[in-house]
Amino acid sequence: MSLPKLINPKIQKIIAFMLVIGGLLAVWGVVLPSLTRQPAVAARIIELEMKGIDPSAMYYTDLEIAEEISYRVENAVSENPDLLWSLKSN
Amino acid sequence: MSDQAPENNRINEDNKSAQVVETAERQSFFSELKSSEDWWAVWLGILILAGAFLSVYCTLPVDFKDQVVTAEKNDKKVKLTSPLKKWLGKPGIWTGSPMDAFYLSQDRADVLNKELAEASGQDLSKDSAPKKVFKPHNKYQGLIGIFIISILFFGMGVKVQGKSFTQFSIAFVSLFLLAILAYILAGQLVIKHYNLEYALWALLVGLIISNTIGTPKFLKPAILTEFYIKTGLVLLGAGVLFSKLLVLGVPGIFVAWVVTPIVLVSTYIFGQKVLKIESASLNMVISADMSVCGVSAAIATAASCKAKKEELSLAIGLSLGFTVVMMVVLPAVIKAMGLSPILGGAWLGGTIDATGAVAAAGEFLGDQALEVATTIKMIQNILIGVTAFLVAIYWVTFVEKREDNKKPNAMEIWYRFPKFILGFVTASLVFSYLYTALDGGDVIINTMVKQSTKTIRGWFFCLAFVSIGLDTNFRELAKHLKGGKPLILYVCGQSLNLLLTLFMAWLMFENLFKEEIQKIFP
Repeated sequence: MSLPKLINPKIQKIIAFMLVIGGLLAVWGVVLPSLTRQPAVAARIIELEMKGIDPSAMYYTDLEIAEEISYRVENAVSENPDLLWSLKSN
Repeated sequence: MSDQAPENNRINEDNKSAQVVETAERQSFFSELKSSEDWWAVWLGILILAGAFLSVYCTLPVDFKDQVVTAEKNDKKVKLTSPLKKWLGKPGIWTGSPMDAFYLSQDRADVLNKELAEASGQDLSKDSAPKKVFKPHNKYQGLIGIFIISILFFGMGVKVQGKSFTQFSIAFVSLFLLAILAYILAGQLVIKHYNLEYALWALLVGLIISNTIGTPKFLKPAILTEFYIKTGLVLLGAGVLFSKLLVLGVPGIFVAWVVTPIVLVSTYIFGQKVLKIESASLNMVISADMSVCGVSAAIATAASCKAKKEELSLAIGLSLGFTVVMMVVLPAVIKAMGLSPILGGAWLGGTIDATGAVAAAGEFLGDQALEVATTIKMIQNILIGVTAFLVAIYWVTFVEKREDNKKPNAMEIWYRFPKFILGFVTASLVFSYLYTALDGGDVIINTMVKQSTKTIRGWFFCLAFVSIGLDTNFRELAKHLKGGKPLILYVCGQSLNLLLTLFMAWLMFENLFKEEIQKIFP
C-alpha cells in the first residue's frame, strides 16, 4: 500500500503545511540572519542603506535617493533649459 | 485581474486567439457609478488622495512661500511632515528577531548597528561609530491606522456593492494579518537588499495556505483582488508626474520613451505570432513588466487587459527572478566591457525591470552611474500611466471581440473600458498640474506621496497579492509554463531590450549629447 493511502488526506495537508512553515522558519530564522553576518553582505547592506537605496523599491517614489537625484538633476537642467533639447552646441 | 466575469461582460476563454465578449444585461450608467467595483476603486482612490493632499496643504506653515523662496536661493529644500505619517506604517527592517520589525528601542537599534558594523569588518575601536542602518521605531500606531482605513474604506465599497460588511470584516482581519506576515518576510535585511519585493512574499503566503490546508471559506469575502489593485493603482497615479518625463530632454526620451514602447510592442507581437502564446493577456503582462518597470507595470497592465491572477503571478515571478540576476550580473558586464559610468548607468536604467534594483546596480558602478540609472528609470516609470491607458483601449477595441466578430462601436468600447484607468489617469494629470502650478508644489506633492499615499498603496497591493495567492492553485500556475513559452518570451524580449537600449544610450549619451550630459552628471 502506498504511503498516501495510509494517511488521511486532511492530515497530509496539515503535515505539508507544517513542513513548509518549518522550512520558512529555518530560512528566515537561521539562514538569512547568518547571511546578514557575512562581511560582504553586511558591508553591501550598510553601503546601500546609507545612500538611501532600497533595492526592493517598486516605484521611484519608494526610493529615497530618487528624490535627491531628481532635485539635483532638475536644478542642473534649469540653469540651462535648452541644453538637452538641441544639438546646436555640438 | 479577471477572476470572475466583469460586471457587464463575460470573457469566453474557449477562443484562444481572441477573447470573445458576450454582452450581458447592462446596468445604467448611474447605477454603475454607484455600485460597480471599478467606479468604487476610483471613488476610494480620489477620497484617499484628496484627504492626503489636504492634510498636507491645510497644515502648511504660514510663511511656507517665503520658506520655499529662501530655500531655493540656498539650493535647499523645505521639509514638511504629513499629519497622517504617524498613522500610516508597515513593518520595518529586521535581521535576527522579527519583533524588531514592529518596535525597536534606541538601545536595541544601537546593538544591531554595532553587530552589523562588526560583521562588515568595520573597526569600531578606531573611534568610528557604527552606521545607523537600524533606527528606533514604533510601528504599532501606523499598523492600526492602516487597518482602520482599509477596513472602513473597502468595507464601505463592499456594503454599497450589496455584500455583507460583517462577513467582510471578519475575513479582512485574517487577510490583514497575512499581509503583515508578508511584509515581515520582505523586511528581512538580506531579502530586502536582493530586490525580493513584498509582492513575492505576499503571493507565497497565500499560495502556501491555498495549496496545503486550503483557503478557509470564511476568508473568501475579503479576497477582493481586483478591488485592492484598482484602488492601489488610482493612488499610484498621484506619483505618475509628467514633469519628470522631460527632465533629461531628448536623450532621456529616446532611451526611456522610444526604446521601451518599441520593445514592448515587438515582444508582444513576437509572443503572438512566433511563440503563439495561448493567452494574449499573459503575453501583454510579461511584455510590459519586462520592458517598462517590473512589478508596478505588471500590476497596471494586468488590470488594464483583465489578465488572470495566475498570469500576473507568473509575470511577477519571472520579472523578479531575472531582476535579481541582472542587478548582479549587468554591472559586472558593464565593467568588463569597459563602458563609461554614464553609458553603463543609462543601460541599467533602461533595462533592469525593478526601480530599486536599478539604483542598487547603478551604485555598484559609482555615483555617476547611480544618478543616470535612477533618472532614466524614473522617466521610464512615468510610462506606466500611458501604457495602462493604451493597453486598456487596445484590449477593449481589438482583442476582446464580439460574438458576431464585429468591431465594437464607441458605446461598446466605453462599456468594456476598465473605468478605474480613468481615476488613475486623472490622478496623474491633477497631481502633475499641482506639482508645477502650486508654490512649492513639488515639496507638497512629494510629502503627500512619500509620507502617506505610497504606504497605503503598498498595503493595498500587498492585500491583493495575498488574495491572489489564496485563490491560486499551483496546477493552474504550472499550466501557463507549458513549453516554457513565457520564459522564452521574457528572454527574447529582454535580449532585444538590452541591445536596443545599449545602442540608443550609446548614440544619445556617448555621441549626440555627450558634453551636455556630462554637464548634468559631472
